Amino acid sequence: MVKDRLALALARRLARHRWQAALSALGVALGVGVVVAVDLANHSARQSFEVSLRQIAGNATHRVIGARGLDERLYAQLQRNGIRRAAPVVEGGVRLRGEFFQLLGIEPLAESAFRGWAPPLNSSAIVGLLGGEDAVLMSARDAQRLGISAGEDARIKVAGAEKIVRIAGVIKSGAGGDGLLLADIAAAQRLLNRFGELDRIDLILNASEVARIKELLPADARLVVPQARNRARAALGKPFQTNLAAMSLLALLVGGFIIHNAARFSVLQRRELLGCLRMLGATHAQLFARVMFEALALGLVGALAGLLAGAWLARMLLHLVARTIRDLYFAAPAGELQLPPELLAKGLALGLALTLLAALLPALEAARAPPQAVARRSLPELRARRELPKWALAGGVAMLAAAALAAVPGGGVLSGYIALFFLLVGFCLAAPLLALLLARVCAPLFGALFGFRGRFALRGVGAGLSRTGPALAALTLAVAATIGIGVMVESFRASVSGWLTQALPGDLYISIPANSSRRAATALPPGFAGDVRALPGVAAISSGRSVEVETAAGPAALHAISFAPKSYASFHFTEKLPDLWRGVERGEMTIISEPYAFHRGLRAGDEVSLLAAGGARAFTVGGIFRDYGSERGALIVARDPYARWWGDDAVSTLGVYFSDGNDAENLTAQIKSVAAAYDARIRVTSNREIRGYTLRVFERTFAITRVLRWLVVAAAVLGIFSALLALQFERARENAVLRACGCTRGEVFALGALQTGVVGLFAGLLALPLGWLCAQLLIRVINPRSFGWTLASLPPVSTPSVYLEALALALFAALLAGLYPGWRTARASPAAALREE
Amino acid sequence: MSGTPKILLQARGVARAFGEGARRRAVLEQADFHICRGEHVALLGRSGSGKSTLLNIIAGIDRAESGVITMNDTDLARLREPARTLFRREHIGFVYQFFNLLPTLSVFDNIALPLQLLRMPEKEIARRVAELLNAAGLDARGGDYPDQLSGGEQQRVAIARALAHRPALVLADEPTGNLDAAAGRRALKLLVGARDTKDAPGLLTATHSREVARAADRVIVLDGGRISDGGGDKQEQLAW
Ligand SMILES: Nc1ncnc2c1ncn2[C@@H]1O[C@H](COP(=O)(O)OP(=O)(O)OP(=O)(O)O)[C@@H](O)[C@H]1O
Ligand SMILES: [Mg+2]
Repeated sequence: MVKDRLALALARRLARHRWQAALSALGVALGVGVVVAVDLANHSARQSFEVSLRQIAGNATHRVIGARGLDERLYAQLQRNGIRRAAPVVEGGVRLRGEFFQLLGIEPLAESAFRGWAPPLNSSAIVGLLGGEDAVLMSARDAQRLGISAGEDARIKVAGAEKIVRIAGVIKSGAGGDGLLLADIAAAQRLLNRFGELDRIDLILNASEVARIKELLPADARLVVPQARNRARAALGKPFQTNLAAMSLLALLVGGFIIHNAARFSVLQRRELLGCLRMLGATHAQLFARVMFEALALGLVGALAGLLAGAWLARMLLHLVARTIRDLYFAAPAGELQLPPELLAKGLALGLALTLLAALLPALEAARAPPQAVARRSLPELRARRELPKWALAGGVAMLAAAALAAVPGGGVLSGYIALFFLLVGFCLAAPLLALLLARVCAPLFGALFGFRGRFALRGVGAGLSRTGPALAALTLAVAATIGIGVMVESFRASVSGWLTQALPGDLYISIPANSSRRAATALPPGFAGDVRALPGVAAISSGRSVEVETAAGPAALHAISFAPKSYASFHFTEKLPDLWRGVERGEMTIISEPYAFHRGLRAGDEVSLLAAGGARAFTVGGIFRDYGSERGALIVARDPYARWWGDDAVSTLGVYFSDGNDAENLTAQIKSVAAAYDARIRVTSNREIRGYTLRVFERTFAITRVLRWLVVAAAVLGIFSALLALQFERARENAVLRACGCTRGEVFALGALQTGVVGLFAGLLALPLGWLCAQLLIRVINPRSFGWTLASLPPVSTPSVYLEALALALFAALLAGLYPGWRTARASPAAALREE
Repeated sequence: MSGTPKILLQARGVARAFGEGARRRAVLEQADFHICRGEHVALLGRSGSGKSTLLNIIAGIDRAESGVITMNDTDLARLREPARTLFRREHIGFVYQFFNLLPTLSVFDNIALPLQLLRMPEKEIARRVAELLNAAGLDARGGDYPDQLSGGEQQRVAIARALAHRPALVLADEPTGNLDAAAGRRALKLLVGARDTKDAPGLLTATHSREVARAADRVIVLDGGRISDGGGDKQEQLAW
């Protein structure tokens, strides 16, 4: 093979700085890794979410649902009228060995056309299902994971009560059915306490049948198309996943800075070499191509490593994502990681594109290396400095664009994220100039604090901006991101906790576990509410019934409440009609939560139609209230009209208000004993316990955010490390002169530490305003646009720790990153450094 | 020298100024001169008079603001990138005061690089480089790296590199300025010796050294931004 001397001349110098090369590959790897991991975790969670929806829905083209479940006789009636392809379903959530399962009661004889994964009729499994009392099937994968084998009995928990089922058989894996317990419909009705009731009837209909069936349905039943409903449910998880994807792109952005920085260095370090090559006749294009090729090679290695790391990391994230989706949406995605090649290819392409983009400017600079300036060191530095205002101007324009995007009313989530991106990039472009100004401002202070060394260090930072600029910007970005997210989470927490105080005016809340089926929540025993109210010391009670109702746009959570006097003040309305409470009590109005209004695009005064027992019923939206309890949102109506129209006067929750000056503990104990006498499943929870539990769920939701935040910071530390390492190489000669002039190793080391400290300090200082701006965008634009939640933004004085921590983080990161380069410099032999060409 | 001297390079009215606005200062104002094929011309002038600037302009790494420089019927001043680079690659060799060898390449590869840029087959490259190394008295040093050579040896490698592709014109900027007398003589001999060959290159040497000037066929002087192309008498010029 002929050796390419041009490539060799450049590559050998690069090899001498192989740490630099390795670090930039690592930068790509980190960026790509995080993006791929989040992508994979999101994809896998979404996939299993969809699969679980689809396997429950099966091949049905239509579905009949009712206002409060369906009478099972409707099924027989449909069959009598020639609707052959129909399958009744009753379903509910149960727990088996602590895990959430969907208990699906089906009619095995009607199933074959619907759920392809269900075992064939003649299989022993189905025979077992029909034969035994309370027999269920589960997927082979679940059975294996839980160590359960066919023929065994298993204990399940239904709405707080324990029941025993026999595992009649397992469904071959690969077919589906994960997260499900399949039972004969009669057995399921028994297990769920839903005698004679169905949740729905799945149908495969042609056009004429559709027309016919509409006539057969009672007023409180409705024919719907399942696909649209599934899509609506799946869309609920989107904002959460978009949030994660945006954060992962932040890591990629930081990775981009690392590569950019490394590529710049590699060019700056080889300026003389490049000039000489130009002199010998190498063209612009040749040098440009070489530098791009080098970057691409590093990018490829980094991106491949990133794919591996990403797949590994995704396993961890999937667990967190799945848990959050379960917490937020009560769905049970099975946590199986998938590695679709198109996602891996996307990660690879992103990594390479990023590398090329990041290396573009340095490569152009390499191509432009003026041959006559081979010995003029200070030239590029001067030019870089002259270009600072230009970059800052571009940055200013980008930030203005961000402000404009954020200000447009009614803009989407995407425009919010684009605004965030513009803000970050714009600020980073301006960061070097700002750092230079900071250096000017700080000069007297540093002079006073550290003497000539302080001034020397500051000058070094100022003069080295073309080297340190991008790394400084990357660190600023990462630290600002931690501030922005930190403030957002704190504000969120404050909003939620403030809301909890207000929204839970009662002293005690009493409920009965309602997770068996949302459509027909279990009820508190009759008479129980009266007994509690009669206890001395109880000033008032409010009672509520939570069910799922049908609206024109799919199912929704409805709370029917009979308010206690203090209840009214527990709502904080963002908008409302004047005669709101009267309208609610009369059953003319409903009040809806902020997320519900957001998702359905509703305002006060609009009308919603709910499917009641007698048919659809219209309510005016009387007000929109703050509520962080559910991301899907909920509607509230008064209990009396609800009981009338839905034919349901059961109560599933009670709020208990103590009269003043009572022994709360004693009273609570009394109420608990009353409850225990009625039903052991009744749960009595204090106001404080609910608050604690809600905040715990909140913390879990943001656990993944925290993980990603640290990854972004890690990438930034890597960036600053590689920049400082390169800077020390660059300064080797200068330091050697210092040593030759009599500076000790310690003094040289201290000087280096001071310089890196200054970089960290500046990055931290610049991150403060940027972080605050990010938080404003997240709180005022992105969150309302993705969830419909209004958050109260906390001013910096009430979250000083977030800002101080960030400042400390920046300093610490820079000092940590400067340790090794500083040690190397101090150790280097001055003679060798001075001899070097 | 034999036969009628044919003109290799012709410069007319070359001008160049540096700086902006009030600080603008003309370095070259009216440089008129020519170099014949195979001719060795010494360029004299005070420090800061613009000798290096002129050489850079001819090499195409700096641009004249006005004037015409023709070589082989090509107007160098009018060439743009990458044509300028390609022209330099093919027709011009350059020797610096400070050697400017590529520290990352061996002596052999340093000399071979311009040949490879011209896509010469590797076999021929090997033959040519061996020839040049021999002429430079560095037969055994092909595998060494520049930092293992003395200053004089490095300069001989740089000269060999400038001659490697048999350029029509070699530009040398103070080629002996950084060497002691003996090493300087040796380098000069290598540079001037190249003209013994059939297709001898033209040679323009910017220098302060009398010895270099004396070895030249003709001397031109840059003074106050001007060179007048009198084709002048060498002895008369040296009296300057
Ligand atoms: N890129 C540049 N920018 C500004 N001024 C320049 C530049 N290059 C050269 N000069 C100025 O032009 C003048 C001529 O410089 P040049 O290097 O050509 O002189 P010289 O004759 O080669 O001197 P010496 O004999 O000392 O090498 C000097 O005053 C120098 O300051
Ligand atoms: Mg000069």
